[in-house]
Amino acid sequence: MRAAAVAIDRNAAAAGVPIATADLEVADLQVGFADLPVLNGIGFRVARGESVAIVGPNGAGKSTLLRSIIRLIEPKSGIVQLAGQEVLSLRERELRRLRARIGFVFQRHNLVSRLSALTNVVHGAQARAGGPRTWLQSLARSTVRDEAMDCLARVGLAEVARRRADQLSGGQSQRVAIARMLMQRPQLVLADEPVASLDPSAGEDVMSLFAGLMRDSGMTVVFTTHNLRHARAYADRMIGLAGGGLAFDMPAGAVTDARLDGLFGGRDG
Amino acid sequence: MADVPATAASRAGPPPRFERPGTLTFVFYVAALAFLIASIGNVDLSIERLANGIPRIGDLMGRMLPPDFSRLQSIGMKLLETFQMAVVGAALGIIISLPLAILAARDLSPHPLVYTAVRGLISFFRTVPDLIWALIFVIAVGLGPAAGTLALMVDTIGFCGRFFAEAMEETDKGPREAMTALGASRTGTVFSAVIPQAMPSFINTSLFSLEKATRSSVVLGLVGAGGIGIELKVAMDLFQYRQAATIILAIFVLVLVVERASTWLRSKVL
Repeated sequence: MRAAAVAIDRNAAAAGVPIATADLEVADLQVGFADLPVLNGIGFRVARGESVAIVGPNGAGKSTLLRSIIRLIEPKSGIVQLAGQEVLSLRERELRRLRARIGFVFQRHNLVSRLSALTNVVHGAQARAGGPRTWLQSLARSTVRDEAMDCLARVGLAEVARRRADQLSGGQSQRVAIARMLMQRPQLVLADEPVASLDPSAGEDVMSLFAGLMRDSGMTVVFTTHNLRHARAYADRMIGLAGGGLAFDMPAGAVTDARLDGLFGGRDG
Repeated sequence: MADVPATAASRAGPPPRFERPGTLTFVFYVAALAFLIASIGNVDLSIERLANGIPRIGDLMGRMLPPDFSRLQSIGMKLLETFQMAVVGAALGIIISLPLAILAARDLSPHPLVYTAVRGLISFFRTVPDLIWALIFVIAVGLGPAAGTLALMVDTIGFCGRFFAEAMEETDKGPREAMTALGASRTGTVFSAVIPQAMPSFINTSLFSLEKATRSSVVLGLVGAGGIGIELKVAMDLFQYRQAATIILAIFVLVLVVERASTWLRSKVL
C-alpha cells in the first residue's frame, strides 16, 4: 500500500516555526464527502512570510486542504487558525471579512469571461470597498480603478485592461487572476496549482512572476503543485500529502528524491 | 496492413436498426395513438367540413379585397398603442423577472422554501393564459390599455422568470467560487459573476418576450384590454371586411417589423 510506504514525519511539522508568528495553523483537520474521508487529521503551521509547497499524488487531498482552510469546502472537524482567527467557528459575515484578507489563486483563472480584465481586477476590492461600485470598472471610484491598473501593471498587463477576459491567452488570464488577488491586499495567499492549466512555457513565466511578487512583498504563501522543481525553487518548506494524511513536512532543501519517490509511488511527480 | 481477425461481434453483424420497445412502452404508444384518433373524432374535424370551408374562406378573402385604407390614421394610432402596451408590459415584466429569477435559481436562492415558492409563483404566471390575465385586470383596473399592459407584464414574468433563472443556474461556477473566496457578498457575487455571464441569454430571452408580447397585445383588445384587437373585432362584427383586412395587414407589418428588429438586435448584441 502506497500510503504505508511513505514515511510519516509529523514531528517535523512544528520544526522552526514559532507559534506566535504563525499566519496559518491547522490541527487535526478532518474533511470528507458523505462517508468518504479525504483528509484525515492533517496538522501543520505556516510562519509569517514563509512560502510552503504542498505536494502529493492526484487524490491526495491537496486542493481539498486549501479549499477547507477558507471553508470553500466545510471541514468536518479540526482547528484552522488563520490570520489570528479560528476559521471553523466564524459566522458567514465574519468569514467573508477574513476571506477578504486571504488571496486565493485557482488552478483555472475563474475570471468572468464577458467582463474586461480591469473589471475582473476591480472585483478584488469587492469585500474591502463593497457595494455596486465594485461590480464594474465603469462604476468604480477613481482610487479603486487606479489601484486596479497598478495591479495589472505589476503582472505586466496594463495594456490589456480593456480587453475582455475571454480574449486573453491562458497565461494572461492567470496573470489577471493574480492581479485580482493582489487587489485584495492579502495578508496570506493560497494558490491551488496556479499554473497546472497552462502550457509549460507560460507556466514557467506565470510561476516565476507569482513567486517573485510574493517574495518581494514578503507575503505568506501556501501553494499546491505537481511540479517538484517549482516546489524546490519557490518554497521554503514542503509538505507531502498521501492518502489524505501528512507524509512529511520539512524544509524544501531537505526533501530527498527518495522521499518524493515514496510519496508518488515511484512515479515522477 | 495485416488482416485483422474477425471478432465474434463482427461475425454476428450489426445490431438491429430499431430497438424493439418494451411492453409498457408499446402500450403507451398504442394508447397515445388511440387518444389522438378519438380526439380527432371529438373535435368534429372532417375532410368534408374542410372541403366546404375552403370556398367560404375564398369568399371572405374576396370581400376583404381590396383593403379599405380610409381609416389608416386611426388604425395607425391604435397600432402604436398596441406596440406601446407590448413595450411597457415586456419592460416591466423583464425588470420584475430579474429579482424573482435570482430567488428562483437553485443555488442562488437564500432558502429552499423561497426557491419553491417563487418557482411556483412564476409557473402560475406562465400557465394562466394572457387572455385570462387580461380579463382579470379589466375587472381590476377597468377597460383600456392599462389592463392589457398589466396582463402582458404578468405573462412576461412567467416567461422571463423561468428562463432567467435557468440561465443563471447554467453559468460557470468557477467565477462564482472566486468571488466567494475573495469575500464578496451573495449580492455582489450575483451581480459581478453570475449576471454578466448570463447576460447574452437574458438579452435573447428579453427580445423573445418582446416579440411574444407584441403578438399577444393584438388580441387582448378582444376582451377590452386595449390595443388594436377591439378595432378588428368591431370591423368583423359590422361585416366591414375591407377595413378588417387593413387591420390584419397592419398587425402583420407590426409583428414582422418587431421580429426582424429583434433578430437584428440579437445578432448585434450577442
